[in-house]
Amino acid sequence: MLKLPQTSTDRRHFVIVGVLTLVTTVVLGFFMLAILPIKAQKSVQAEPIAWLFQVHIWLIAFLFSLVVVFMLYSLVVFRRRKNDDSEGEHFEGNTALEIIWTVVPLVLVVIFSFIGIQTLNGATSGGDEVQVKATGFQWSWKFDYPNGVTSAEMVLPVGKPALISLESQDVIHSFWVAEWGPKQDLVPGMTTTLHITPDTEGEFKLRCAELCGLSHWSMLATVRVVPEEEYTAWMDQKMAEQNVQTASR
Amino acid sequence: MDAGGDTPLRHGPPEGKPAWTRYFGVDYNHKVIGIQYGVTGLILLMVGGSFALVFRTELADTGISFLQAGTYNTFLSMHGWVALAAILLGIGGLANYLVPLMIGAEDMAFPRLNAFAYWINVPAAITLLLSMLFGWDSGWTAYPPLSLRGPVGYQFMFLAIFIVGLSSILGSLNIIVTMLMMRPKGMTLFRMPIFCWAILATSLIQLTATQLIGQAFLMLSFERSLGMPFFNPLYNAAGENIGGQPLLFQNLFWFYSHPAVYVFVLPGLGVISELLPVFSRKPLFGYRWVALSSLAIALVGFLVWGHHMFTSATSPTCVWSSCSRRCWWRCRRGQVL
Ligand SMILES: [Cu+2]
Ligand SMILES: [Cu+2]
Repeated sequence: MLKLPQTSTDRRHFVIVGVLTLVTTVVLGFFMLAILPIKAQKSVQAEPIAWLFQVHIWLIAFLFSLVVVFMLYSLVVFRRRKNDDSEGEHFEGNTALEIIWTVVPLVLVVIFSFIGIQTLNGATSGGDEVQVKATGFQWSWKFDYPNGVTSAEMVLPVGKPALISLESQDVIHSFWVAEWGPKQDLVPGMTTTLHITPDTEGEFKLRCAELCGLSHWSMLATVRVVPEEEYTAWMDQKMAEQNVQTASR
Repeated sequence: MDAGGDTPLRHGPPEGKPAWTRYFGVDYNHKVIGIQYGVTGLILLMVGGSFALVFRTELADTGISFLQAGTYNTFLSMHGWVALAAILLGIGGLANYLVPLMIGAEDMAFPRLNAFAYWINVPAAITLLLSMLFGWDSGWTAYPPLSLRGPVGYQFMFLAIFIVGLSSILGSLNIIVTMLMMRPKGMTLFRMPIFCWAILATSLIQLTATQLIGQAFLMLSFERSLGMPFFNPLYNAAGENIGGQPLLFQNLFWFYSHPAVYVFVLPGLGVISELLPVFSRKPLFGYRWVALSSLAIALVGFLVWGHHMFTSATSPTCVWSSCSRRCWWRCRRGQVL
């Protein structure tokens, strides 16, 4: 059987705990990455978010292991033995330790704020080659293109930076295509914007992500990301349809 | 009642009545009030928990099973505030019962105010529960403009939360004064049990932050009933917003509601820091650091409310919590607030 060091001042305790912490970190990190749904991978803006998510998961796995392994190890190894009624050793505190474990997290927070700002800049920027105005109202969506085309579904060409400007007619709604990543509220009284460069073709669901009343759950719209030619064809057809309507009126 | 007169301090059961009756009437003893707080808190916790069970059960299957959409939203929204009120009362119970005993004070500094702060919770809780009859559906955050449009249940909820908030402010004021003024000789601040430090930090948050949410809900109430344009946008002929700003509410709301999470967690940390040393028969490791970091949590907790508004729209809060160049420029251009 493994013989554990007998006194609490033995340095070998730290070696054992260190190894256990590392092992737990790796196991926990891969476990969390495996079970957590990181769906957002279908736009350019989703990449920095997914990356930051992974960095955080590894950091969380490490910090969690550090605390919990130390704690469980102490609980088990230094538990009270039978017929032992002696007092434990008294430590009032340790200033050096306190300073270290205050400063290290502080530095981590500063570093992560910096990374966070970079990521936010990445996730909220992009070009405006395609422009759409999305209007939300209780409980549906409407999409207007600069050339006057109006549609109940949003169609975007794949790989082209789109600037979606968001307006609400009544209460606060939120524009969210889960697969794209970023989410942006529609605030009455102002125009908010969302940069999206979809990089995967397909049909997605646009959901309202801010509780907006009785039928909030049904505030959905279809979003189609299609090849450039298909987009142009769709646009031409829409223009023709809607011009015909104007002419016949 | 004679203003400025001494509060009749009475320890022990009331004369000529069974001992248990004191828990059902106005009593100035801090232990009685502590138990009143605690038991009311537990009752509300069960009510709020049942609400959660109800709408969770509805979610067990897809589609509508037994709740209507509106009723579902009401249960969902109610459980949030009922549980919040419950935990505020529970913390009031712990603080009232333990703090005077721990610092060696005879009672709280203002026993009458203490009883008042407890008793206004009773009509507040009833008003909150009554709001269910009319329904409201915004979730506990009550973001306008949605909360300005829904059923009249909102008005009940605003009023109830305003009163619970008032109780919170008065109670924490009482605790702070007790802790600062009623310690006997020799009980220095750094000799107080660590739980008292946790409660001190909690009370400082409650005293200062609660006013913001009280104000926010009062403004909602006035906008609904008197038409004061705080939050609802209003457009002029050119289509510009010359009315209210919905984001103003979110800033006020989260300026309380983020620090509020520390109101809930700090007393718990205090309890653990009190129990662990006892059961491991060691002094608390780094007492001074734990005490001061409780205060630091209270302080830093005020700076980060912006993380609840990442998707709201860019706003000045992001200068604190996530200053991106984009939102900084928007603030400069005066697009927000
Ligand atoms: Cu909506
Ligand atoms: Cu928060």
